[in-house]
Amino acid sequence: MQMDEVLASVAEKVKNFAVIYVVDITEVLDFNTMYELYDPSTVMFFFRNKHIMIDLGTGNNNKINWALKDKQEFIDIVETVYRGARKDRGLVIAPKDYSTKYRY
Amino acid sequence: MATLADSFLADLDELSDNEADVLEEENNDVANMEEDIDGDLADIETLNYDDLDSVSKLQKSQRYIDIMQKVEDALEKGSHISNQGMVLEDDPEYQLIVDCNGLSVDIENEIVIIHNFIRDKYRLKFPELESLVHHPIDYARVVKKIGNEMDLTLVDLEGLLPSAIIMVVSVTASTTSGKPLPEDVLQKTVDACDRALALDTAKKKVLEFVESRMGYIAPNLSTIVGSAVAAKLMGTAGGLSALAKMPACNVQLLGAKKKTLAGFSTATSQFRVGYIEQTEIFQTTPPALRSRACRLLASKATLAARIDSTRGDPLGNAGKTLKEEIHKKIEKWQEPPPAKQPKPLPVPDSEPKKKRGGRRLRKMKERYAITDMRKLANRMQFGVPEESSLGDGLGEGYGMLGQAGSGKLRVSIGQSKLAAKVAKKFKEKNYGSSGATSGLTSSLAFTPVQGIELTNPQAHAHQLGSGTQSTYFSETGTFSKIKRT
Repeated sequence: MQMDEVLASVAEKVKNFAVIYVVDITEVLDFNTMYELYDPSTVMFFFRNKHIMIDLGTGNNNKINWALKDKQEFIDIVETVYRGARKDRGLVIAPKDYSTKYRY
Repeated sequence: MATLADSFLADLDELSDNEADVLEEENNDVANMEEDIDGDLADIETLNYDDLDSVSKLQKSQRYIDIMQKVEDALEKGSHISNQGMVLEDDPEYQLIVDCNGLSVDIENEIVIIHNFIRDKYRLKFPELESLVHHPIDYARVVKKIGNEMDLTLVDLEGLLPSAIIMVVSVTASTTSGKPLPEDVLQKTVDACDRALALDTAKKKVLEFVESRMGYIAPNLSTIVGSAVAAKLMGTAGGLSALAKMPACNVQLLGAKKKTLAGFSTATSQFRVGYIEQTEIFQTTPPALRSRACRLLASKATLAARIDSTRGDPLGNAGKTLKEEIHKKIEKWQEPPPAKQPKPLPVPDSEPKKKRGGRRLRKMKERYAITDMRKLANRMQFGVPEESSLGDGLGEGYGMLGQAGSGKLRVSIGQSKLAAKVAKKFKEKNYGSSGATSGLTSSLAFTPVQGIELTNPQAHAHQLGSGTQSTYFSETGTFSKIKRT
């Protein structure tokens, strides 16, 4: 829910370079094994039919599988992915490190 | 000599005779001058005139009487509309209106003169009144009401003045330095007041007449500001063409009243606006927009007056369009600003960064530019292993530095601009300053001529204090003397 809200509020702002699709994995099951989708929320980035990896520091470079709270953080990540993808980079480095995400 | 003495005595006699003659002549001259001055309407320097008639001649003049007569007749007749086809200048009524305009200006001047007369006479009785009550007609009314009365509580000034001013006047009267006037002077003063009031009523009649004809004279102007205000503007300006020649900023101020302070603050004093204040459009605008509306009205009114003075639009259509314009503009000012819409972010890297150039940037870049030493260290000769700081390929490589065949005999770091500035700053500091010496200063200097040289700090200080050397271009010179004021 939190991730949904962040995505909804950000959609207007990034509409010039990114489009956001929300997919229900209980309805569309085709990609669950391919991308290992079993978390409550997963965000993945694609540019021109290519999957872009992000180095978030969590060990899993393929997706963001927790709920981001900050809108500006998310916008930064989207922008970084866009920049790197335009330069044909398959892996971009996120501006913020999330390796300590689980330490509260 | 006797003849000389005699001639001197004779001179003296002549002189005395001449003096007597000269004195008589002077007296005559003075008398003539006084008469001339009294006869001259504009001259108000002599305070000795006793006769009002010698000062104010307008009411007795033929011109005044003629025009007033015509005005009264015309007012009784009512307006007649059948003069569309006639050229304006030929119409006798137009001529009368032009005369009226001139007359109203004259009446105003006359009132000022009479006001001065009353003021001068009444100064003996109540000198402070003239600074409290500015308007000549109000002043005349107050003087008439007070008369020779010393105690102002017996005098009722209600309706003549605003209550605040009445209060101030009463208070000032209780402490005034004036004395009651003699009977004849009082009589003259009251006569002058009467005359001023009569002139005022005459002016009002003239204005009324002009106002009733305003729709015919200046249709465009009357459409915009209304006929009363148009008549007043024309009257004050002295005619339609005079009004047309004025710039709009002056038209805005026609009829603006002077502020009577009486000790009240000017923090709430309004902006300067004259007869335009009485127009319907001005009264119906919200107070926040009033100053803008006033300026707009004045400019459009001036345009309309210019159209009217050349009879460009006798039907008044231009006036109607101008009025529409004014209404539209005022409505537009009152619109709320458009709601803020959230703007989406621009595409990243779509706008190329604005790169600056120029001397300043080049100089700035020079401070961080790659030096020759570093350039040589970055390159390597073909087939020749480079030296390194830790030897044997470990550590930083020196590249072409120090190798034969590099093409440079001596490679210097080259003093960077940053170092130059810093060096200059440290040079300025006195070496002999008590305790606050910088750690980087050195009193020793190595010169080619004398080897080691010790700088003399006293000489340094002496240099600045001598005053012979200019301190403008000195690298180390600062203020030579700072005086405490």
